[in-house]
Amino acid sequence: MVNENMVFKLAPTGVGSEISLSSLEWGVITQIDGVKTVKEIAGNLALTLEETYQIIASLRKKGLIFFDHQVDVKVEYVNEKVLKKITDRLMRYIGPVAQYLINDVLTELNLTADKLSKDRLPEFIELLSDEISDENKKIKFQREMLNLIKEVKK
Amino acid sequence: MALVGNLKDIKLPTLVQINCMERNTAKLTIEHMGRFGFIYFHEGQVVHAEYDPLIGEEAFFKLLELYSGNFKVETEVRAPAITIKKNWNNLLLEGLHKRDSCLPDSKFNYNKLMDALFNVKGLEQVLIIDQSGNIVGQSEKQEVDVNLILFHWYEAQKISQELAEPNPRYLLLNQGGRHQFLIQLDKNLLLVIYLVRKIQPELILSVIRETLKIAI
Amino acid sequence: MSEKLIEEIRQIESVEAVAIISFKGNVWQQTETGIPRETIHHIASYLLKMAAANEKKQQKLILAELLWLNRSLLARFSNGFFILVIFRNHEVVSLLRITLNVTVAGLLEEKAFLKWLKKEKSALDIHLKKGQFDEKEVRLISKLV
Repeated sequence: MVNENMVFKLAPTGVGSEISLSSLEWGVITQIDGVKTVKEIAGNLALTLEETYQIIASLRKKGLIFFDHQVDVKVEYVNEKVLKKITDRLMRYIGPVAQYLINDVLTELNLTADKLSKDRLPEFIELLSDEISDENKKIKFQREMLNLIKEVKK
Repeated sequence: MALVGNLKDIKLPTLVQINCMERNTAKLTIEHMGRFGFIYFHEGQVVHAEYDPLIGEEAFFKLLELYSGNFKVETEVRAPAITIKKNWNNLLLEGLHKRDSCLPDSKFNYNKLMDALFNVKGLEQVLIIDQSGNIVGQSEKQEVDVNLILFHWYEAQKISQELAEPNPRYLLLNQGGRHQFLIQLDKNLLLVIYLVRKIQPELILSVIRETLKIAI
Repeated sequence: MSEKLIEEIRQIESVEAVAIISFKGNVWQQTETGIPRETIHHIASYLLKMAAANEKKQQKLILAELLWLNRSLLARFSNGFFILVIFRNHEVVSLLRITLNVTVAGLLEEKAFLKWLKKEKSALDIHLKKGQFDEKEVRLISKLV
């Protein structure tokens, strides 16, 4: 059973019948490098995880790729302090409704306040800033958040 | 007291189901692009429908094709006539079946696609055009600049050629508050989606893949 | 200052090319990349045609995004110029969009850039009138009237 932390390699090509692949299967094949996880491949190709699992399973069945190893990925979550900082900044621009907006956006992204991963922080910030109607305030918020994203990534 | 809303938020099959399961006697009025349609319920059965010039089952089936429009439900309003005798379950199933399979010239089930797409929040309008600029399917009849759409897609194809890439999987244009999403369904057909807010494109792509079973 | 801004974009993972281009089609700055300058120039001309077509229809183009299998393109338009970014990993698109917004704001505060932009002032519709067009483009443009 395929999971998001698996890493695959290309099978050595052998003689035999031609295999026809869909464009998405080709796309996945080009990403298989013995380094990228299934999750990373899905993200790079703008595919959902479920779809990527299906394609990987199909390519495996066709003998084009094989499982190499599993990566023990430790998801890094944004801590409480950072989320508070984001809330406080946002509140400066849109007032007390900021907290509700944050909860709405977390729900939209299928996330919770304690399980906001660092790699989804830009997406989260982008959706938040879209709700700031004043362009100047939006840019100021995004500027501050860019600095925060850099700090968090360190 | 009347219940009001828009079909973008509550689909018509759902409205019919609710009124029938609650055994309501009511009048459902739908206004779409200035035209009015009516569905009458009596004690939980659909008994009459009007959508000029159609009445009865034909009017009901035609109304099922609408994906947008304002509606109003008024309770305890009796039907002026009984023109539908079929059980509501069978009527709805037959209507949905007709709606989902009435596309003579294409292998794509547009209604099914529109149904699936309108489950995604923030969609305003969906249309499908061919390379000659003909509108093949549309969620609502609104004036659309097909020539601009075709021009944008053509330039996007030229950009693809410059980068030695195949046609883009999508072209997304932010036109100041309104987002336009273009996806090529096949050699001849372009899917155009208008959004009122940013949506994760992967979501739309996966809905299309799931519904039409195509690899985009 | 704009070198710093463009460098910030270039340093984002998987970015292949960044260019700041006026509506006249001239480059203020671009990163040295594996993508030939001529290719960037041609891509810019197609994007300017798209912006011009939009303007003809009284619609302002703010952002254009294209996705292929292993590559994406973002073009963020502002008054008189746009920033073009070509990158590989679609996962960084949100970060890029935020960075582009901030970069546009930064550029509009830079005196040297504004001075250059003033000289580059050009109506967009020139891109639908002058330049190279193939048959299909000519036909499509004529229908935009």
